[in-house]
Amino acid sequence: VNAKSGLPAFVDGKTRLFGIIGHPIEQVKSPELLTANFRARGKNAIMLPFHVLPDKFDETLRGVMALKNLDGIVATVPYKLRLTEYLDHIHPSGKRIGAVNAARREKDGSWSGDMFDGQGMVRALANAGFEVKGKRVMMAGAGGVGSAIADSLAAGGVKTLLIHDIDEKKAKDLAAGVTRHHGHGDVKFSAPTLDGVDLFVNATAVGMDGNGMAINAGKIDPGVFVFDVITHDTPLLALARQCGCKSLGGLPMTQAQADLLVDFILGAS
Amino acid sequence: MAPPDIIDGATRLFGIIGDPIDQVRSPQQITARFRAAGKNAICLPIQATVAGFDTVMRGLKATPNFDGTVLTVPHKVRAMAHVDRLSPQAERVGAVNVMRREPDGKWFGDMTDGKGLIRAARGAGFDPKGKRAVVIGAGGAGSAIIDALADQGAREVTIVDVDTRRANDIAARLGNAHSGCRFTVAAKPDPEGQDILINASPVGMHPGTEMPAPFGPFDARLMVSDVVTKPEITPLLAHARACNCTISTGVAMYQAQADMLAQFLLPEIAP
Repeated sequence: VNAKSGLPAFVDGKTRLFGIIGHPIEQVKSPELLTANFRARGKNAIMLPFHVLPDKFDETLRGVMALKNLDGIVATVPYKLRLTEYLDHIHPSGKRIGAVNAARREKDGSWSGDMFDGQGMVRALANAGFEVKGKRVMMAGAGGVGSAIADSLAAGGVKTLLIHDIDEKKAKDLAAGVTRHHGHGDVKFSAPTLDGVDLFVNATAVGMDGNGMAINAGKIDPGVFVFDVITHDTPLLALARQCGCKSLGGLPMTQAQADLLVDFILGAS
Repeated sequence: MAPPDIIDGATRLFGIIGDPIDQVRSPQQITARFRAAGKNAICLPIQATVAGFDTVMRGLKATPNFDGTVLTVPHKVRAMAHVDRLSPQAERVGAVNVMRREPDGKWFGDMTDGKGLIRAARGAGFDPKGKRAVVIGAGGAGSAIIDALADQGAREVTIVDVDTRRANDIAARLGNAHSGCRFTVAAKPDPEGQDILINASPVGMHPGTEMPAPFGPFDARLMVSDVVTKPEITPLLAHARACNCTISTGVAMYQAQADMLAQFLLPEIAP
């Protein structure tokens, strides 16, 4: 036990548990980042990596949620949509997006969730000196994280938001949803393009395995800011650097939302 | 590569499952042993109610980076249903206090509760071979201790439990498994002529409680062991000490046990 903080070196019987669910899991940064965040707040709590297999999702989630000393869950790829099935209550932004990346057990035993990826991404961009207001954005990927980013970009006042997904209907539905909620006129489906774009966002898993890019381009204009949700280096980020573009990976997005996530998952305790 | 200070995405998960859980020491003790061996692994406190136990076990066993767990009160017997293979000790005792995922994906369960106490007693100079023992309490810990005594060569074990049927059942069951040891059941613990007296009941755990029986002076050659960890020196051990007996505490038992548990969970760290 650390005499100053009163916290155990790693863990003891009183440590409160939180877990991040994902597949794969080894690359996730939340265990380190959020455990450090808990400890900086003087909380004897830990963020665990839970490797959840897609075909064992239900069995694993039921087991994890049955742990009496586990108070919250963070979801990463590919479970941000699926986690919503296990929640009793979804906060408005999570509901709008249709996905959550954080859930907590309330005092009455029910579970509620919300989505923080979009806010984290916009904060990370701002920290890097890029303000989204008035910008033209191309985003590839209309899944959980893409939906969250679209919501926060619209809330942040982008001028134009072009959305692509290999599932065209998904991209169009997202554009329509964002338009409806934010009363925004220029959000629409588009094939991937860099034409006149200030910010290119990859919100797909393409490049996670080190291969491929969500846009077919040999070079990128150095005036384009490139953002990739993937937390390690990707072919897209490598090309951006090579072309002299400013760029950010997914890790700053995770870092920028650490306080928001921890505020939320500790909110009930 | 040295393990990270706390935890990261590659950390291998282990646990101790019980209810209540606040008081368990395995998280610190076992995690410290993993880290000392340079392993990026952690032993978590996992609180599972009796009603939620099967759901929790199914979920944890379906988690590929969860490799094993210690079981404590009240789950040691129910855990038998969640392993594919049992050690001879676990099979004889009818309970599991630790289980791990084997390389073939099957789950293997063992019972080390008894072995921990004997290892601690050995550390204090006691060898069970050819000895006579009296054990108070024939619950989960008691039956494991009785089995380990017989397994390590004790000549005679007297079993004392307020539930005499339970004591008789264990004497009958372990009698079949250990032909070299005589098991008897007694209503009261009599240290006369015994080599070791072991308290495996919770008596002594609560403030103001006394010894498991109103003992007179002990012969100084009697070894006295207790499974209770809080207080470390129970009224029984204080009495034994006053009689110049050698004692072995519940804390010593749990420390011996922690080595065995850590090595069972991560066999590659065994010396």
